[in-house]
Amino acid sequence: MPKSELYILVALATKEQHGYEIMQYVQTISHSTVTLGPGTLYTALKRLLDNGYIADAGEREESDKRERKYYKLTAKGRKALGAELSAINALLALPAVKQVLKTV
Amino acid sequence: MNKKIYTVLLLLYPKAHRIRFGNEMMQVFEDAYAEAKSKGVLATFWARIISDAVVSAPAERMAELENNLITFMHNEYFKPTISKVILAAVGTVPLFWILTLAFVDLSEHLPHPHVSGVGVLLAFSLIVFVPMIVSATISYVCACGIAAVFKNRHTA
Repeated sequence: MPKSELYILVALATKEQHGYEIMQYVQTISHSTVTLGPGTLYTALKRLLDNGYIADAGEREESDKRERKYYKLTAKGRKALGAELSAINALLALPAVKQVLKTV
Repeated sequence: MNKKIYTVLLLLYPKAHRIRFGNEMMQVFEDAYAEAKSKGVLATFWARIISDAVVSAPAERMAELENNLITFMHNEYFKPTISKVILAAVGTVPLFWILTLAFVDLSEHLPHPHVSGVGVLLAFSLIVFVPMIVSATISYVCACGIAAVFKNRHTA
C-alpha cells in the first residue's frame, strides 16, 4: 500500500473527515514527510474508494456555510490498515531493523 | 483568477475524474489557497499545486487508459471464438497477398540504397510482417463485425 494511502487510512481511523481535513491531518502526523495536494489526495481517495477501504459519509455544512463531503473508514479498510500496521510492527521487531535504527 | 488557473489545471485530469472529484478538488484548492495566503506563502503554494497536478494527472490518464484497455479486451464484440478466428484466418490470406504485392510494387518506385546482411533481413521482415499484422487485424475486426451481424439476426 502506498504511503499516502496508509496515512489517509490512519487519518480516517480517528474520525470521519473531509478532503482538506485529511490533507492537513496527514501533513501533521507525518511531520510534513507526506504532503498531499488536491491531485494526489483525490487519486489516493479514488483508489481507496474503489477498493472499498473508505466510503462516502455524506455532505455536511461547515462553519463557513459550505457543504463538504466527508469520508469514513469501512470495516474492510480497518482490516487492511490493521494488516499494514501489523506488518510494519513485525518489521520493526526484527533485530536487524533494530540495529539499523540504532545507527540512524 | 486563482480559481481560473486551477480550473485550467483540472483539465489535465480525465473527464471522468473531473466529474467525480472536480468540485471537491476545487474546494480543497480554495481552502489551501486561503491558508497559504494568510501565511504569506503563495509562491511555495503554487509550486506545490503545479507539481501535484503534473504528477497526479498523468497517473490518472494512465489509469484511465489501462481501464479502457481492459474494458476493450473484455468486450463481448472482440472476444475470440473459434468461428471468428477461422473467419479471420481465411480473410487474412488474400488480404496479406494483396497488401504484400502492393508493398512490393510501391517499394519498386522508392530509391534502393545498397544494403546487405542485416539490412536485407530488416527490409524482408518489413515487407512480410507489416502486411501480415495489418491484414490479420483488419480480418479479425471484420470477422467480429460479421459475427455480430449474425448474432443480431439470430436473436432478432
